[in-house]
Amino acid sequence: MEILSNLAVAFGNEFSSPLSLALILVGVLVGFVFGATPGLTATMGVALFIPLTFPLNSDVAISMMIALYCGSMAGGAIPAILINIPGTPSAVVTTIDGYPMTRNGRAVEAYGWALVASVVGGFVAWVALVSLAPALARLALKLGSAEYAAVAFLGLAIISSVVAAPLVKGVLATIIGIGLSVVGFDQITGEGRWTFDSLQLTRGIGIMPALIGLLVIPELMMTLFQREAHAEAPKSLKGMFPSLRSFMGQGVNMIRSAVIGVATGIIPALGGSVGALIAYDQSKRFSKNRANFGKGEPEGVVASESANNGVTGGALIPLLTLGIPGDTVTAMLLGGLMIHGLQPGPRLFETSGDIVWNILAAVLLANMAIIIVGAIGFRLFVRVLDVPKHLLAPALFVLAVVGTYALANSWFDVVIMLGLGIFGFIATLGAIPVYPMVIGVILGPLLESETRRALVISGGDWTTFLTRPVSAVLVTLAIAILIGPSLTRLFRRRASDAATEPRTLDPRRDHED
Amino acid sequence: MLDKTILRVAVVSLASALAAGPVVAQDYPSKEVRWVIPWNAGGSNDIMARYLQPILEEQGVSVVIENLPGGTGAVGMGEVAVSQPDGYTIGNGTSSTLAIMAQGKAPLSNDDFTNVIRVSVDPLILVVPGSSEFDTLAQFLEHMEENPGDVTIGTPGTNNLNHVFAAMTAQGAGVDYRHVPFPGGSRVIAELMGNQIAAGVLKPSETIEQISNGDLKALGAFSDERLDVLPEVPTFAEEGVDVFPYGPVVQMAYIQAPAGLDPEVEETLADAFEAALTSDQFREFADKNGFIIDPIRGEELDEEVAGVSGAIAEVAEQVFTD
Repeated sequence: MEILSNLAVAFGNEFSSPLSLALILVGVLVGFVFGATPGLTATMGVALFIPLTFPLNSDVAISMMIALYCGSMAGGAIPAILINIPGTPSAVVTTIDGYPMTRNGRAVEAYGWALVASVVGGFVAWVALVSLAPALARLALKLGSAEYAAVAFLGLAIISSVVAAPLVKGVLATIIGIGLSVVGFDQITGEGRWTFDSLQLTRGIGIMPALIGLLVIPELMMTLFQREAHAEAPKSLKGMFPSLRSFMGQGVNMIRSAVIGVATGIIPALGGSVGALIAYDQSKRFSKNRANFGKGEPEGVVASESANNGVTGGALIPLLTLGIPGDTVTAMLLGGLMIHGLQPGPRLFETSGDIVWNILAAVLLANMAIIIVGAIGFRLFVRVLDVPKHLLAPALFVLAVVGTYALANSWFDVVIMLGLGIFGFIATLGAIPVYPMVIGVILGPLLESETRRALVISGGDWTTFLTRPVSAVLVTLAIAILIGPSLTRLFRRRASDAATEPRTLDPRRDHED
Repeated sequence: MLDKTILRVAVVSLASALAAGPVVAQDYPSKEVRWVIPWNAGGSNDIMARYLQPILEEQGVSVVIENLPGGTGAVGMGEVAVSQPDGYTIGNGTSSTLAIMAQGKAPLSNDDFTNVIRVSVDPLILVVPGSSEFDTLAQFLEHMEENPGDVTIGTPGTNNLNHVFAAMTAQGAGVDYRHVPFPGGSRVIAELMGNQIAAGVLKPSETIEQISNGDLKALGAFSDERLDVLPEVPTFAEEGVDVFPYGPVVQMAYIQAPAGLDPEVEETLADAFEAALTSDQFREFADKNGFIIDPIRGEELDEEVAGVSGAIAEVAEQVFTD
């Protein structure tokens, strides 16, 4: 009850302050643009906005930054769906079904689902944040390096298997991605690997240059080489939002995906893409339309987007209750909070309770603003499909170069990005999927360093991955995903062989006789 | 007025082109100063810089913060080293970058830089989980002795000062230990709070909130004297452990410019920074976050940097076996 009365006061504060409401809207809007533009990241957005928030009250300033964070996650889906280019690493999974839907002329519907799922994901995360945050954050701390490594392994197993390619090619692509991630400083020993004495290469191959290079550039080259046009722009935006009935039909999927998102968001350092991957995999497992996944199935878009936004809210939980940021954006938010005189941590609710409640109210308002900004913004964004491809491709190319450069003010990153772009194009021509490579670059370092850390902690004992229950479950799941399908196929073949044996043998016998 | 400026610029640029040396020191700063933070946005160096930005503006120096992360700071500082020494590019040097330079892990040296002024000193402390059975440093060291090679100590990063002090702790107990490097201080805190590791070497500025809440316990300070933020925590020396056998090593951040900076420009910059660093506003920020402002500059800073660099090189040879 106390929660409700605190929230009531906080919502009262928000609604009585037009400035506060306006700034939340601005935050979401800016977040959308940063999220929708590959190369602009939520971290950059928050960094740019911190100085602008100096004159504001701390709660208004923080609300605006959090709104920007929420907006960026929802914005990443737009280019993922429209042009097969995820705006953020978390939106990679959204492209798997979002873009095929656009090709099937269902762009508006896909985006409607993405928007609705985003908001539901955000709402579930918000409920967790408001009601269970301290308990959940403590629970997440029970997980250590062994579990992190196991989650990364599961994520890699899933991406190898969900892409529309034979498992062997999926695994190969994943291994290529992990291989790329090995370049740079070894996190454990601090030694350079594959750096060829180049100071630049010690930084390794960044996630964003890899994402832009492997996903954007091949896509642009394909549009230039292919005769067929981009997907046609929808004539009207009717039918964007699903009917109540189909919405309810996706209820379980949305909530399950959101819960998976929140759970992965709470765990520091896992990031959005794992949450989306696991949610996607679970959704496919439980779906009646399993066969349609990867070919333009709304349920896939729903799972990915709901999980993405669950991650956003989830990541706020350890930030606000423990003072532990999970990724670079929340680290930036932590900086923002500190600059505004707030010290996130266990005592934040006691020392600055009223401000925290205002921030929590703002998180919910930001999620509502996502619907408004998304629905209006899509009218503009969808025009992208009207642009002839000979104009769109060069424009996106420039954006990719500028965005990559802006990540770390480094031309070297641009070179890496372009190099990977050509590599990705060749791989695409050879029907080797590129998504697993990107996920390999993202999760490879996590898998490697967490495995090694878990082994240092256990004193070199590999059984630590099986004796810790959570890790054991995750590892088993991953192995089942990798070898399960071939095992069932094997058994099925044996069974059918046995059943058909007489018939297949009979003619030969006849012949012999 | 404008003509004069143009003329002066022309004359000076001609002169500087000929002498490849001093620029318009008396006009400095006539434009924005690029301040390279060789760490990710959101890290402690970055936050401090963003906090200083408006205060520096009041001192007549407007800075643009540029994050050039990577290579333990070597990528960004490498960029500073090759910039024009005109005072319009500065960067944040830290003990961590100094450490990898001293160990020859980065193609940079102290001679590539002009040391302008020290921004902050961060003491380091040994912390254990709040639920840990150990309440004193002596108990913890005894535990290490009884379990040689089995006690884990986490640090943010590797081959840096935190790593040095983790090794010194083990040396104090006279045994081997398990060093677990994590990608950042916040991860070490999470691992400690979840009882995944036995101890960690961290800054008070990143742990003060958890310590005052009882989630973490500070057992000892790696410093000559007790810390103002944690007056009840003894130093390692009090427990009879010498953590500075190779000379003084402190975790610090300081402003560096490319080598060959005009002394007048250096003076102007250092003055502006000193005024900003000693402002009430920044002092309050420092107190709240548990770091120390000790803005030494000039030769004093050069000596400090050389001392830390030498000590780390020595320690690295002795203790970084892995």
